[in-house]
Amino acid sequence: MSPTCVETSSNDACGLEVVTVSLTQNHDVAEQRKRTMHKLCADVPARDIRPPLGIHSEVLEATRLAFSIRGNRKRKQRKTCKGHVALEPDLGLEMPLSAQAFDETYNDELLDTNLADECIYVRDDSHLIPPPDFDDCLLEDFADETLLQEGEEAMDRTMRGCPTMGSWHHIQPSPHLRKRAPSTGEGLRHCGEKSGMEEIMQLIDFAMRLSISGSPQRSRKGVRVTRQDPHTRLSSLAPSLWLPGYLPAVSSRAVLLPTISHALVSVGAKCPGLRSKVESSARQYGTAELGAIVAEPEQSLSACLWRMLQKGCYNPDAASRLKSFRHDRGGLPGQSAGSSEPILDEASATYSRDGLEWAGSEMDEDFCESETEFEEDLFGSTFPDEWEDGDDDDDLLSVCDGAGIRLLVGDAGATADKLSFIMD
Amino acid sequence: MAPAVVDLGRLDLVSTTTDLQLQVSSQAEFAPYARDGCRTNQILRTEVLNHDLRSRPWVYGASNYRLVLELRIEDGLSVCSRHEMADAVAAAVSDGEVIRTTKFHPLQRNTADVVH
Repeated sequence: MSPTCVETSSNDACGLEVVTVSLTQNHDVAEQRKRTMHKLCADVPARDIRPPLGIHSEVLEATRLAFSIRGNRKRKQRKTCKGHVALEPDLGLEMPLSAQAFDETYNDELLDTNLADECIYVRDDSHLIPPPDFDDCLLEDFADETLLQEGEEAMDRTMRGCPTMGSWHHIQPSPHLRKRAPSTGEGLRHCGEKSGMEEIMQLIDFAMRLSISGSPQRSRKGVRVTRQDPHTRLSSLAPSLWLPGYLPAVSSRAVLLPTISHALVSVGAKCPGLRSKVESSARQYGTAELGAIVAEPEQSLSACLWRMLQKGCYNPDAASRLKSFRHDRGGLPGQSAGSSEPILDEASATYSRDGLEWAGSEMDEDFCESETEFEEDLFGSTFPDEWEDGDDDDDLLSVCDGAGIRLLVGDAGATADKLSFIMD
Repeated sequence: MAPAVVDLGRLDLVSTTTDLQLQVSSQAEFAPYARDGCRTNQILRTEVLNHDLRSRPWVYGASNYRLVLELRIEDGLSVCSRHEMADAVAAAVSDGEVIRTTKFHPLQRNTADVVH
């Protein structure tokens, strides 16, 4: 396997940085032998597999992901509660703010520099403080604004001295309220404040996994998808490249297709009934493109079986196994840039660690914990165990019987049953 | 011949803890189709984006398959320079589980800054 490399280039004129990662498929002989069902396919590199005649193929030269990162200039106009105003729930002044609206209002108040000489009373509803992962279920803007508007109306009634609200002297700070002087928003990030590498990397990481898998098992904390056009994930476009386990599964079976097809046709030649069934099955499963070569039963049958393979081995959930950049790693990206040492120990398939630790922020720790929590059960084998525990001494006929065909093509439905019926 | 480019869509993300927005658009570049010069990108798109895997062409990677990440970071947004961010992304991608899980093995990383 030829070594690949990662190169970065930049164009200062347009503020563009380009990272080009040259990739090549790894051929792990030991793993492939473990995975294969028959010795015929033991030494065939997965990357060398090509579809049979009649199956159209495309060569993917590059995948380009363009990231554009900028600050969020869109700021909502938040309603503030200025002055020495206390909100007494018993008097009906409870602002119907959700935890989200409450939090955002509070945050924006803190960001409002015009409140330097004022005090803000906010309800001490600590139970409304959102949990750490509350960002994952943010309310929509319209709902947020509606709630804020309701809160504003309640406040306006108070300021007008509405009889139902009682007079001002009845309004005293309650034990449920705490006085909070406006601050500069320590712990919050201002619009103009610069972001660290961690935060940008977090976004890029999530966006990349989203582009590959389409729907990660769990949204990352603090990241929200605001727009998703009809988007084709890479694992769907090119599962042989971006869907873990797909190419080895297909390739380990594809090498058997000519043999199976030949056996079926040979047996079918002696039995007209079987031959007609094979041809009708191939014709039904094939496309118009296959129709042109249906006169060659062996080829059409191979193409038919390939299509069943292509569908049967596809497991979109496998893409959810993709981890983040930083999962289970000790090194800080960039620390070893320029190093010529092998990053990957190919024999043991483990990474050589440089001993460096991440910055140790709480965000990282939380993220790693959450990732582990939600992904620890995602590492089961993509395919049935029996596929991986192949016996090299199995006779080919054991693959060609009815159960073998079902195993070969996976869950491909009726045609698999039909072909297995033929063999039975 | 120029590669056939298929636009795969766009995603917008926002960070709810920081004032960061990210847009990512993805494209796939396919090798020119020498056998049929009249094939358009629209036909290619229809073929490769077919939701039925059975009637989809087999898509495989070229021997020099590349993942190209383009970064445009607003000036003054990060405490790091754009070059540092690019190096960090390069290191993260080559080291990261995203690549390893897909069985791509970048064995060596050489980072070279080229200013065009």
